[in-house]
Amino acid sequence: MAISSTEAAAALRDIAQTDRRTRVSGAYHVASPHLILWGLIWAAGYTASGLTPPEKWGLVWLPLIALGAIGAMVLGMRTGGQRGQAGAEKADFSAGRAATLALAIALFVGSVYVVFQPVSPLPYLVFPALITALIYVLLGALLGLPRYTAIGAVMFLVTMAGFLYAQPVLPFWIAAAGGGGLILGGLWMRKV
Amino acid sequence: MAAPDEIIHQSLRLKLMAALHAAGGEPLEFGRLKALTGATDGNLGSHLSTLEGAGYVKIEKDFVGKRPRTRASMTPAGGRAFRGHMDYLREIIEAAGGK
Repeated sequence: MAISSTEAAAALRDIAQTDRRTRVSGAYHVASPHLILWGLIWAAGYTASGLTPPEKWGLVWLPLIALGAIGAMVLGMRTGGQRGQAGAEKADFSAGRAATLALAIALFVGSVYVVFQPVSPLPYLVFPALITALIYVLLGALLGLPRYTAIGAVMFLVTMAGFLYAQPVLPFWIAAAGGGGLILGGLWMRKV
Repeated sequence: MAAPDEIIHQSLRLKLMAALHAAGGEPLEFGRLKALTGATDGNLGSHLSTLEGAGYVKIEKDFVGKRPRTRASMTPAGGRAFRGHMDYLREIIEAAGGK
């Protein structure tokens, strides 16, 4: 069997391309149920926020975030279990990074409220959605996962459209657009 | 010098092995392998059988609810053969002056 250097280079290119495609597809498959979970939490939280006064939003969100965190851990363990020991270690590592990221974001968002002291409830509704959108765009750009970037961009545009043109129904707008966007994004990520 | 592997070198089988190698031992479903390699139902089944016959791939068939599921994963022998073939390809390029 004789292989020329041109054929060898083409074969290595094919391998590299398939390797990359498989890793991206794997990342999307792992992320998909998490997006659907947080989409449901998001929709429930913003819908409840629209039905309760702003001073009670903490009571609405804290249990939902706790529920989401538990759900994310269960999904992480399930993924790890399906992938064996190496997968379980990776899932633990990812869960640790996700917890650090969530804590950093919560501290950042809280600090921004302390510094800027918003006088209306609208920034409390819009700012977390914009930060979430930014994180998706950054993750997509840094990790080379274009679907994350697309989901972040859509969330950003929809949130700003709601802030500018749908303020009377803003919580419900963000519940439908942000929650729906995450759920659809999760379903889209399965299609690879 | 590493040796070529004629079973792996065929274009679609090379992609299948690359996908299964990148999955790191995790089984990949038939439909996902099709999407990742651009194969059709017919040629995917036939090339997977060839790889299975060589002991490079393990095929598992089961049911998820009522839906039948076929999954493939790379065996340790498959992993060794794939890495060996990649070494061979790299050596050809190095011998040709790194083009």
